[in-house]
Amino acid sequence: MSDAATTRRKIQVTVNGRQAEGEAEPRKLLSDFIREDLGLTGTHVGCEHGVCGACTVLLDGEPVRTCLMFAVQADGHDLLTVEGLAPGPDQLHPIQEAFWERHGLQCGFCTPGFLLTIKVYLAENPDPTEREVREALSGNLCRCTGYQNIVKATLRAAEILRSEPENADKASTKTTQRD
Amino acid sequence: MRAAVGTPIRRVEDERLLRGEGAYLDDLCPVGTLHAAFVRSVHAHARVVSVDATSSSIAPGVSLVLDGPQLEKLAQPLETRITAPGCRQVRHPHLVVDRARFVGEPVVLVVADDVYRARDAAELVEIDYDPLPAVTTVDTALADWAPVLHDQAPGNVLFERQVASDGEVDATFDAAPVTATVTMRHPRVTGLPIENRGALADWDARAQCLTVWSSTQSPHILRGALADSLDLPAESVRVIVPDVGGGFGTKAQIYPEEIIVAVAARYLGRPVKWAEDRQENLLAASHARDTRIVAEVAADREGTILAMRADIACAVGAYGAHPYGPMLEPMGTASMLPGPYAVPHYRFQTRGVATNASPEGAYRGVGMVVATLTHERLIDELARTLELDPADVRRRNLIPSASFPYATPTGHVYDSGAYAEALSRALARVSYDDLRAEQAERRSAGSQDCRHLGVGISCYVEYTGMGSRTFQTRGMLSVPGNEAAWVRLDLDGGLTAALSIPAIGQGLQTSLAQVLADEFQVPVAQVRVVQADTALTPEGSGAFGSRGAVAGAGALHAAADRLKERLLPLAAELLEAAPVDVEYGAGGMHLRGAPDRGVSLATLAMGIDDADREHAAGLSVSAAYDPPVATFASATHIAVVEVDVETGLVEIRRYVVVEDCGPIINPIIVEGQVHGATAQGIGGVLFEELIYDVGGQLITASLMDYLVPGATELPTIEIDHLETASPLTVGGYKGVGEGGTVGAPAAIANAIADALAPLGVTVSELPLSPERVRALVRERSHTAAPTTSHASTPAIMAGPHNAGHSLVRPS
Repeated sequence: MSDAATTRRKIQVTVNGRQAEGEAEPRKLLSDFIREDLGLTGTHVGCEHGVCGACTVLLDGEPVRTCLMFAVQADGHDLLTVEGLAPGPDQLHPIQEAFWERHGLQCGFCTPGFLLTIKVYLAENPDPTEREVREALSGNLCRCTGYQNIVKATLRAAEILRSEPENADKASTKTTQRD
Repeated sequence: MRAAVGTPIRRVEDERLLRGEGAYLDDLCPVGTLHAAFVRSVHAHARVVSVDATSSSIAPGVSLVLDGPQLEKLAQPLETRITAPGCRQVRHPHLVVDRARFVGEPVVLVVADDVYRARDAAELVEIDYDPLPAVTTVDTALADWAPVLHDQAPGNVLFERQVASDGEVDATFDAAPVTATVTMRHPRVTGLPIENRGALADWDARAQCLTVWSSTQSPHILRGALADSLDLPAESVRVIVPDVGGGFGTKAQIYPEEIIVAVAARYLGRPVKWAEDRQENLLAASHARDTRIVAEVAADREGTILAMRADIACAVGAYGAHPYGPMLEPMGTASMLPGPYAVPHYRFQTRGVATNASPEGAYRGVGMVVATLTHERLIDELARTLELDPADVRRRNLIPSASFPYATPTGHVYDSGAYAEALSRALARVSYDDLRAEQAERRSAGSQDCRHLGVGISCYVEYTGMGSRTFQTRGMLSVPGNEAAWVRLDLDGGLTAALSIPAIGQGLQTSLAQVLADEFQVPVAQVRVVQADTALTPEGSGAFGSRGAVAGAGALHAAADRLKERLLPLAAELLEAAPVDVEYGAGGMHLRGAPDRGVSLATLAMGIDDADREHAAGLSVSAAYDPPVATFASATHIAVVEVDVETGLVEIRRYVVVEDCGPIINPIIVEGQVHGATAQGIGGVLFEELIYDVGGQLITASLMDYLVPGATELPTIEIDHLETASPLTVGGYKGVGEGGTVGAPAAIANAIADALAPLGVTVSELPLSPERVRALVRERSHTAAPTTSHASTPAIMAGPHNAGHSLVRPS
């Protein structure tokens, strides 16, 4: 392995609203950096080739597959992982609530990737049909649920988010934009 | 008392998992952990001439490189103790010693301080192979010219058995007015949990104790394997199961990698971890099915079944899996082929054939998937031959509820069920008559519509909750079959329980908390079920065979009784009464007949604390439970499909399941199990196939090649429940983990066959991908007669069959 690949570089990110800093070889995957160097093991690795979606996090608000990125590519960027989704220790995010209520998870391994994918999707499309939800989730694999209750949980999360006053304005604007 | 049982409470494990606070195997990393990587065989079959690890050993960060002969000095190969007739024992080294038998078989272990460095060093290992001819199918493995994989198994037959219920099978066929034949091939598939396999081992040199964390379904069986292999007393080995990201049978086997990391940890005196990647998982985790079967049914003109016979052969891969050996698919398929029907005479021949492929192991619905696929295809072929409705032929043959217990020709005893009721409900739910009317109208209209409507029914029965007698009868001596529960009264009056059955995502920590809460008549919040740890429960088997509810509830019931017994004298003392005058009631003990004069569990816990300092840490008991031979769950699935004959795409318009797993502990969990299992069954019939090329290279070693269904590929699964209690189990529970996978392939295959029936083609090979459906359609357009022969039909059954087609004989 050449020196260029193994010389460690400094990486600074904002993760879940906090500044964090680490060092990694340029070849180190972002997924491994998040798990090992940032200690955030809620981001799971299921395939290492960008198909299963378990390792999805938000980079500057957009979903990315961290097994397809190098940690150095995230330098200077803003990350949101599953650990940063809930507003606090006493409260869950509405998508997490909906997953719990509708039994949207079984083994839970793919769940973090779904939650973050759905967060972005519902911001873009706050009132989706079941078919639209299925299409939005088609890049994430789950082997336990047959997606039945993930779809239901997503529709339920959309409902909760629409009913929350702070989201209502946003929701109506988005709906208009969609058309 | 049922208060918690039967209610759809949300799962206790979820909040942690939703916050990303689960602790799966690869999330564990004790200080000083080293990382393992494996060099795996790139050849399907090859002699290993030499291994040169010189450069690898001195690579940065490397602390250990071991090849097969070196490892053999540190650990014994596993002995899979099987006494089943017709089963041949073969040697399965942890690392290849002289001959690699499948692509992906581990050859060299590399341990380094970082997983990237371990993989770098693995690339530096130079192995000189002398390639040998490879065989990957039943046909080639059984051919005269085939290389022999194991000296102990001439002809590559690892398992074979022929059984007849009596001597009248052939005579019945000869005299029968009608017979139908089905030839099927189910592809090689795999469980594919989203979390890959993994193990972490730590050796305590001072105590001479080994601790292994493994993403396994079988902690006690793994403990036994580690103890045997490393020559340690079982008491010196502790296996802890962390959160598990799905198992589906894939993690029910004991794998060489789990043993090897333990060897390395003991050798190095440091924790050693191996976390599998997806390519390794597809190459070297257990595969399943790869079965071809020719089966025949004989019937009278009304469609009453008179006899069945079958020839089954499975390509079981390079070795028998530990601890089940090579007979899971071949024997499971053969023994359940009669299904939920009354079959007076039955004969089968079945074989497990060694091939240069990853060893087969358990995968959801093992054996029963192909059995159900076959008996349901047979019923439909029989109905078509007789021009009867397939639902009517089923009704005529389903074992009536009044017949239980019912002994099948293969020796199973079905304990209870309501098979006909499940069928009726499912038919009503899909408005079956309306569908047939729609189908007739669309067909008679001579429409040019490229979409063809098909309806497929699948009725099945499955063994669940098996106890020790089943595994003894099967000759699987390394599978105890019983389970244990440990229950502790905590100082605050709560109850903590652990079971020998690990939670693997199936919701066991909730459903068994519901069972335990009812045993003690306390709220579920007062009860906690912790993850499996062999240090807490003395013995057990694991989470497989749809045994969790049956064996878990049984073990908890036994432990609860024992704990209550232990509490009785203390309660009597606190109540100033004779023990005979005290009984257990809601949340504690009270004077017989006077529930208001009692002591709560919290008071009892403190009482123990005050009265006897020895018990200050909380009173705990453990108890073992041996489930019955088996309890039989059942269901009917109906699929309604639209097959586009121009594109080959199959759209599932409706999918209905009427299942019967006995009394339901938690409806949302049961439905979740049915959803996931059905999805895997649908994957197996429409998309999934592990393909080896002729040289034995796996050409589907990524998730871009091995296609599992996504959200857009699956329909809404509608579920209805029957709750026929088992007379044999605590609570009457039956298992539900596997059923969906058992039922779905038959329902979809029958629906597609029904849709294509006007073309005169027969479904005989899965998966029914668009490509394969188009091939069937083309076959029709290129041949004049509808009864074509199939090039892929194996000639494994002697006798006058036109494989894949019904034979109507003159009466």
